[in-house]
Amino acid sequence: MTSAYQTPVPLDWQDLIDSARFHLARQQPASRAANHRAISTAYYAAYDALCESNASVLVGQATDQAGVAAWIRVYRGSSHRHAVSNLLRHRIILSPDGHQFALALNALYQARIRADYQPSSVFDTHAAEHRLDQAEDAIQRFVNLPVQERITMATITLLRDR
Amino acid sequence: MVTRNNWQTEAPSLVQTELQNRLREDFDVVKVEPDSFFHEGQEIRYVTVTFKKGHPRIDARRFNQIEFAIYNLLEEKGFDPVPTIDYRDEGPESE
Repeated sequence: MTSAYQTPVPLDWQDLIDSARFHLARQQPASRAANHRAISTAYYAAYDALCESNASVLVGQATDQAGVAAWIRVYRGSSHRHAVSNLLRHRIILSPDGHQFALALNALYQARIRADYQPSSVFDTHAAEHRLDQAEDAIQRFVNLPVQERITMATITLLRDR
Repeated sequence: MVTRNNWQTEAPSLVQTELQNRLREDFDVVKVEPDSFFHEGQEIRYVTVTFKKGHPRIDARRFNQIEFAIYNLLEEKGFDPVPTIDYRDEGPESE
């Protein structure tokens, strides 16, 4: 007997970016909260694209409950700081587009930390739009990388160096 | 290694020079200010670049290339952690 299972459906990175742009445009000028949320979302869109890629290239299409569990384990397996810093450290072995994704992810992460946790930070709408554009450009480059390079990036972001 | 004592002196002039060389007359840089923030034991260094009011919309591809070239340059020069760049429009709160 085959148990029922549900295929994981992560948030779509483009939807995340479009949603942030919608909230920025809804009110002119955009509120400080909307600017900060957009910067945070820009990072999460890039990080989520990375996590989804990690699961897709290492586990692939899940066909049963065990496969779903493995997919989710890999999808959730990285930690923000390790993934960002290790990818940055090893970017020299990546293609130019992989290298750019590593730099963008770091810039987006650092901006996101300040947008979310630094009470004195003030990001204006141009800054928020810039981070969304940066995330979109970097993710487009990343998702079009060859599978072999994304496997390399998955191991860099998931595993510890020894 | 560029220590915390002097990175705030050295990074802004490097960033400003590189930005002005690469952006040329398209954007006027009003000021470049260094700062840092600690989060969970990690130091986040950043340099805030303020552009003259009314500058054109930032072109992501071009700015990414410039921002990342500057990051690589700062890393080569030994800044650790390497400061990232923030952009801001000139306005009442930045004047």
